[in-house]
Amino acid sequence: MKTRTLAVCLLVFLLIAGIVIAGCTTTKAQAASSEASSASATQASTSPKILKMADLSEITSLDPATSGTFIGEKAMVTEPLIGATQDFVVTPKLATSWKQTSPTTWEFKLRDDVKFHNGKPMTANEVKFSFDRACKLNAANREMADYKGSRVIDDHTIEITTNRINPVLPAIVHYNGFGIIHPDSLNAQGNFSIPVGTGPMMYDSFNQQTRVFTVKKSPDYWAGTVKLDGVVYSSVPDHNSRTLAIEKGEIDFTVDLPYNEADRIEALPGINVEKYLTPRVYILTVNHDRALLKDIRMRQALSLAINRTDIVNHVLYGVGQSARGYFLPSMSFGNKNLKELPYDPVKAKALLAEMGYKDKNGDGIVEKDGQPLTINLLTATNRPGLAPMAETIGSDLKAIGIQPNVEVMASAASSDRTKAGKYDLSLSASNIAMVPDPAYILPRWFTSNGSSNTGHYKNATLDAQIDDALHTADEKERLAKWNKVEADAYDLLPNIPVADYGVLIVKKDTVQGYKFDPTAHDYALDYMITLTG
Amino acid sequence: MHYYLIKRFVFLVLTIIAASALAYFMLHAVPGETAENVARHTLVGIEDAVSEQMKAEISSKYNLNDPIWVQYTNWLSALLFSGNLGSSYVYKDTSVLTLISLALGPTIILATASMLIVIIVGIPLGMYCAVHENSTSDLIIRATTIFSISFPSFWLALMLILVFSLELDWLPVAGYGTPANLVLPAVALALHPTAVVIRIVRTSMLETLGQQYITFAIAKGLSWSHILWNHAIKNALIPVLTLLGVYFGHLLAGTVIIENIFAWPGIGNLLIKSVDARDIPVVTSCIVVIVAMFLIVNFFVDLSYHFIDPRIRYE
Repeated sequence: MKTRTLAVCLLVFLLIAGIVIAGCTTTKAQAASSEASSASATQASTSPKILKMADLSEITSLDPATSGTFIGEKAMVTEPLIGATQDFVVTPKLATSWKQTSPTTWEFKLRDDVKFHNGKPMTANEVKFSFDRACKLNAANREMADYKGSRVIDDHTIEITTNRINPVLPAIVHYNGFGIIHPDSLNAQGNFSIPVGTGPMMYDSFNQQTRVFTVKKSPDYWAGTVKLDGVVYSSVPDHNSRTLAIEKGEIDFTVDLPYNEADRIEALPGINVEKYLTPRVYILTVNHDRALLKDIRMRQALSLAINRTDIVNHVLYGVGQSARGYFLPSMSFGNKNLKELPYDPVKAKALLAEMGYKDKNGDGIVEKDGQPLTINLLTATNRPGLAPMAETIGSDLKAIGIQPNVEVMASAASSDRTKAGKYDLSLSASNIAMVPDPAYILPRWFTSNGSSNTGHYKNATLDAQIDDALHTADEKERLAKWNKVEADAYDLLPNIPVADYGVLIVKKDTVQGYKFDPTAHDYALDYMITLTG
Repeated sequence: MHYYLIKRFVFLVLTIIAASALAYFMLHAVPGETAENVARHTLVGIEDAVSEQMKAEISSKYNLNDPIWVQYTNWLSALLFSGNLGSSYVYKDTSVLTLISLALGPTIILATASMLIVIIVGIPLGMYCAVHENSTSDLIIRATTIFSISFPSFWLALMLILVFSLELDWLPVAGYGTPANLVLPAVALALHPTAVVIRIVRTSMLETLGQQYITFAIAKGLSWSHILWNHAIKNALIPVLTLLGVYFGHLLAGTVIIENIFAWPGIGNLLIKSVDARDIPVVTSCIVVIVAMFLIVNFFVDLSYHFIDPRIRYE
């Protein structure tokens, strides 16, 4: 009897297992069939030009309002109203011209030859729909634009109203979170289903299981002929696997390979590696609540101790460059007179001595009132260069007699610590031009109540200068004022820039026509890119 | 027997509740705000745009401001009374149930393939080594097992890619969807357990072959293969079966590193990404599924002892 019970149990288990596996097999078959389209396209890449690319991050959403930059910059499905040149000057895109009609209103004239991927023309109604939605669903969009609402004036004119004066609104709507989509992108319940945009590529398929996304060429793209037939996006999170995949030829284009691999991969036949700067800077946030760091001589000593050239050459392997001001040299609005902060450990030691820090017991660490000088340096693991850079800065500080205490942790934990004020220096890679204008980052960093002023720096003069620049309408005068703010901050060192952030673009030689877009958030693709051979 | 089954079932439910509670509360104990983590993983590449307002909206949308025990009991009651695992904070277009069912298939396929390799290769080779104790082939096989036990699986995985994908060009580097994609991850996962199984089968078989009833069977004049297959193997396999059960449970629990290397969309991959993004409903649900699978597999392993050795009974 017991044997029979056991036999029945086993039978039931086998049935359940069978059902589960069958269920999974169906899922797999569906996935396989969906992927087959991309794979078949991949295999037959001799005829259709399908670019295969792999990224570190997985695609979590295709909605431009909430997904950040993927669907616009990488997938090329949606586009914003405004474009930008290589030197960060805003240019027409879906909008042909714009003007500020009152302190809080802007009028944008739209192109009249743009069609969505569903064949319908783009009008001001869809622009209003996209802006309302982007600002409703995403607080980051709403806050940057300070969006109050918009009004359709005619089919190709839209007026946008902000809560307060916002002289940089065109630069803000350059950000892909304001990508224009057709209401057909939503399903009957009003939920986002697939992106119907105006870009050179249109939605083809998205496999929810493998998160492989494919796009195909839009037949009537307004800006010109799209050279690729499609792109397949996949995520290969492991750096080594991504490197091996491009070596084997399974992918054509990837980014974010380990910096120390750049030279080896570049030497491989058929693959080329390009290094570019992106609008991001490795920067040390200084905790101004610590009396020690309020003294400008201490901040200068810390900056003088850092050997930026060595960091760029041996930590970043040339992927990046020593900071010259807070902006990239290519940014038209940056102060061009600022030079690289000097490396001078002798002067740094002299500044410490002037503050009363001397090594009296000969242990290599300076003391004051019998207390050794210790600096806590915090960083996060979210960017590959951060941890080794923090270690290197730690040893630079030790060389001038400061005892470093370097701590590396997950970004949210590091953010918790900085919010609680339990740190001296915090190294991060901050975006400096999410909006291509100095009015984006400088007020956030340097005003007493700036949203990114995590070190609680307070300087009434700088506050007044920033307020003045923010409320200046004349473009030339406005930029001159921002240049002054940047130069003054660079002298005062409320935070200490270390290096400009670089990105590695790794692609096969068959990928032609790629032009790096420095205004993109790390990198972007465009319709001129093609495949040969 | 019925009592035993009921007892095991109650144990299963209690373990799942305990494991889910542990996962839920421990994730909250980790430093860093949940809303900030979620926002950072939503805005990949523009993490600096995460604002206080955005965090407040995320917290309010997912009730993250409620006390932890309220959040947990809400999640548990939705699971127990409506089978609803909630919705993901990060994969906004997908429910947790869909995410897990999509990830479970690849994991079961990979675990089963690896297990088949372990059984088909490990048991015969272990028996062969026992029967040919201290022969040259025994020594070679044992030396090889030391090699695959000693090297970490991620290193072996990369070596397999180097040889079979890059040099020989036989198999793809990474991906999912074709049988060719399955080979390298399954082999990489199977190498370590196969080596252990070979050694355990060998030891267990040698021990069994030294028993008096085997000597008696030889004295009776029974053929060697009859003794091996009908008398020795059943007894020798009991410890191996326990081991296989544990390994299969581990494989089903998702093998994070191997899935990551081969971009395999399994439950380990989903779990690690969700832990990173602090996607609490997904993490807790993954833990529940993994614990349930582990316990169910071990339950059936326990039941199978009775079939192999009828002296083992469950009361």
